[in-house]
Amino acid sequence: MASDTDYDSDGMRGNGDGGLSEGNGRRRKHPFMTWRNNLRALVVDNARTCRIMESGLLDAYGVEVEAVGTGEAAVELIASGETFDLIVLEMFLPFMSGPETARTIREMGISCKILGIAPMYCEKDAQEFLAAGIDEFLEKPFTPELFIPFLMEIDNQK
Amino acid sequence: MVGTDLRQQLRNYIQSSHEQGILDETFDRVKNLESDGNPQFLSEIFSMFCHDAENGIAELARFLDEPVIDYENVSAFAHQLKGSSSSVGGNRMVLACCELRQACSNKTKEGCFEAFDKVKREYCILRDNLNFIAQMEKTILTNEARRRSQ
Repeated sequence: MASDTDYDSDGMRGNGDGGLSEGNGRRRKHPFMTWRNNLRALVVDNARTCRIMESGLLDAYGVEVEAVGTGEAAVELIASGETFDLIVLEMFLPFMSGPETARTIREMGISCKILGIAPMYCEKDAQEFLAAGIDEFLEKPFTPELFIPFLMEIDNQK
Repeated sequence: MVGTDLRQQLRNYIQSSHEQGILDETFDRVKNLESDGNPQFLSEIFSMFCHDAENGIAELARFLDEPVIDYENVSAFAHQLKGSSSSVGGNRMVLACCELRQACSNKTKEGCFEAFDKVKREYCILRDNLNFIAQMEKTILTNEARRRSQ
């Protein structure tokens, strides 16, 4: 999708769908916002359109993004040593669910901000997801109004 | 100028889609993600959405064709369709998916069929809208590129 004219290329990490990392380390040259620190986010969403949109929005707002389609891929990426300031995690993932993924990530000692997202808000889902270790439960669509406050908080704390 | 006219036509079309409730402000955010270095973004994301939505609708049709409806699976697919259509700003399709989910919660076969028909109708309207917008964008960009090279 992107060309070199709008990005500082850091080299392609890889490409894929589903369980493979889709991040490529490329940054938009003229993001809508800039931050004091380099912010990295991991998007975990099995719905392809949502995953691309969530990644695209974060990228547009100056965040370096990796995106995967399963909880297992997210855990694998973090276990490999990759660090993130923010994780955006869909609740209804296949196989390893969003709450299971959050629980596993927290058990690995990862303390970064995790935003749980789902197509529809439901109190029961929110409680389950929060108990699993996310910091906030948000209803899709994932919009700048929702994530910018978290990015500002993260940037100020770094 | 032709280019200005086409851009204005596109703006009017999008405005009309907003007024009809077909698109919402999320669509505008999607559109803003397009950049000079990424002119195909809109058509690619719409194409991706349509492909995934059609797969989702096919799965829903399969489940609803069963003699005994698996409401849980129908609800799950409606849920996912709601998520992806909300991500591209497909407001009316989002509402249709919510209705289907509600019909699943009520476990009413007739309600599910009606709601599913609505999902299919709203998907067709949304698809046609997005395709038209993508096509207009492509025409505008082609014309601008041609003008720059002259």
